[in-house]
Amino acid sequence: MGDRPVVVAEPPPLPGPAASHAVQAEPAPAGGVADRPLRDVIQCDQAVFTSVHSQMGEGYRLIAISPGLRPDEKVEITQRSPSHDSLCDSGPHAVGMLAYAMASGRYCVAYCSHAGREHTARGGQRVYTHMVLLTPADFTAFQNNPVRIHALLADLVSRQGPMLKVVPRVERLGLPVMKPSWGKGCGGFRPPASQAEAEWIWSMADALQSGRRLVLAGVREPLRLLEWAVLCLKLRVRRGMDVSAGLKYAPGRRMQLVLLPKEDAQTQRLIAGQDVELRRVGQPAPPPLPGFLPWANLLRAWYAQREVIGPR
Amino acid sequence: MTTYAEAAVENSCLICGARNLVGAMVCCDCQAPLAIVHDVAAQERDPQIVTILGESNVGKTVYLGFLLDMLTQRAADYEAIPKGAYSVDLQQNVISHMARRTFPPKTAMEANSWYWAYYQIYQRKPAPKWIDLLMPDMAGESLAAEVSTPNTFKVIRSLLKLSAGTLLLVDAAMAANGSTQPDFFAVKMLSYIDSMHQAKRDERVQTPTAIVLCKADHCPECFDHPRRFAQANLNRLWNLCENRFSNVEFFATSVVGSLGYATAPGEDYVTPIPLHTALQGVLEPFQWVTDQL
Repeated sequence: MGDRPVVVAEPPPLPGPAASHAVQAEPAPAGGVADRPLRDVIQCDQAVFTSVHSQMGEGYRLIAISPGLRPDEKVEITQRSPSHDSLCDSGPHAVGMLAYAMASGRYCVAYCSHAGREHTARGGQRVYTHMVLLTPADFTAFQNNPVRIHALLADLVSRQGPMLKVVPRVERLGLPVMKPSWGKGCGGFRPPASQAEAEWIWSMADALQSGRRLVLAGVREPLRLLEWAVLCLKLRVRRGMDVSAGLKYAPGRRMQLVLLPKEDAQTQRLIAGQDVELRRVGQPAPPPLPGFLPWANLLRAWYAQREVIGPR
Repeated sequence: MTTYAEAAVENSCLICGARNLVGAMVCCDCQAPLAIVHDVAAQERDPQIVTILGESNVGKTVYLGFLLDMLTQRAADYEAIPKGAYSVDLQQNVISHMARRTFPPKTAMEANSWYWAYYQIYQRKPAPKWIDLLMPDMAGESLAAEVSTPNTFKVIRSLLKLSAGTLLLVDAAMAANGSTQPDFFAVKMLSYIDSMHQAKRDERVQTPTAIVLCKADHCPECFDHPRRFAQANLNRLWNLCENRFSNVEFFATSVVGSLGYATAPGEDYVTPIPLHTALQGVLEPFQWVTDQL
């Protein structure tokens, strides 16, 4: 596939996971990942970061790790993982996504959700984060698309339930790589609803490609929009993306693109003077930067011709 | 340490020294509120940092909230003036939750969500003096992560290096029940501080360190002889203090007068309900630390 944008050639996400992982999403259609034809299974290291009580300690920490995790990776996960009250929605079914390139060279994709009430009963929900760490080669098997991997994790957690016991050594996780169904359009996830929404997708892709830090507020279906933005990017760019959706903005997570359902005063305070752009989806998208303009123009043309990314 | 004068000119963080852009409200590196820099600059003197340490769920937030509330209510002839509205947030959060008979929510690990209190405190006795105190309320999990792998949360290391005094909270109720967890956590924490000072074998850490035995209402004997209690129930901690810390004192404290327990059909958890507060020994550790400054 090389290093060129792959909007056309991208295998479409499957209806089950794509719909089921949407933050505050529509109800999931029948048929999980397990029902799908497998091309291959990628074995990757996994870890769980959540709050439990054990004889060795109390509160948020890594409670389950595959033996392949390096000490520096554990530190980075601890620094960047969400803890108490970090999901934007405080409801029991809230979901978030965290995906970032690690200093070790691997790529981390995390599925964040609530797993019952906080166990010390001091109010709020327990934030549960199940993550996988992929080598560059493994990540390429998923077209460097973290939203697709997030969907697999969502499916796994919904089928098996959260892991809430300390497991010092957990086996590696087999992630099924979907058989691509080329040229069948955009499958289970809806194309942009309007030109304005499409412009925001390109704006997100522009920010990711140019390395700008962007907080986008007012996003209703963050994972759908993010997946479209990812598909608008070169594979090389996708390898370095640091993105979160459905999680409150925290500077310590060092995210490049943060998608929030709504803007709040705390986010404004945190990004003031920090070289981070805050935009609202309700407003017109900013014009693309010169480096992204030719590609944005091509996407616009495709959208106008109702090809690939266009409305159906 | 970045002094208040340097910090004010360069908009540098007083905690970690990172330079920040004009208009920034939190430090780009450690997420400490930069309002502290401006408030400290207005005082034209460097603040003294007192850090509250302890593992998750030991009661750091509740203790600090009540301590600040007592100070602002002129307990023991202290006068405390909060510098900036952000300094009052912790106190308000704790008092309002306890008034509704609930414990305040957990402190998140993300440093941007920690409360910071900056108070100007006037102590009348033994000799009148003003102290500018900066007290952050850190998450116990972040402390545990930093102790287990140094530099996971650099802000903690920076804070401890700058600390003029330390209050280490230990769960006396758990220790009295035979759990070794409070003892081990306290030993880890003090051993981290000891190694951070890189003191030689014959040198001991001079920083005033108050060991605060929390939830002492569950083991009232603690109030009579906190040192004896520590020696008997937290022996590893006691020995480490004797060997490596020259300025240590033990205190017992309790905030909750009586505790009820509630649950509902289908609930997995029993929720502790603080029925009323009865403060005991909250001010003494702080008083001892400020006397040493």
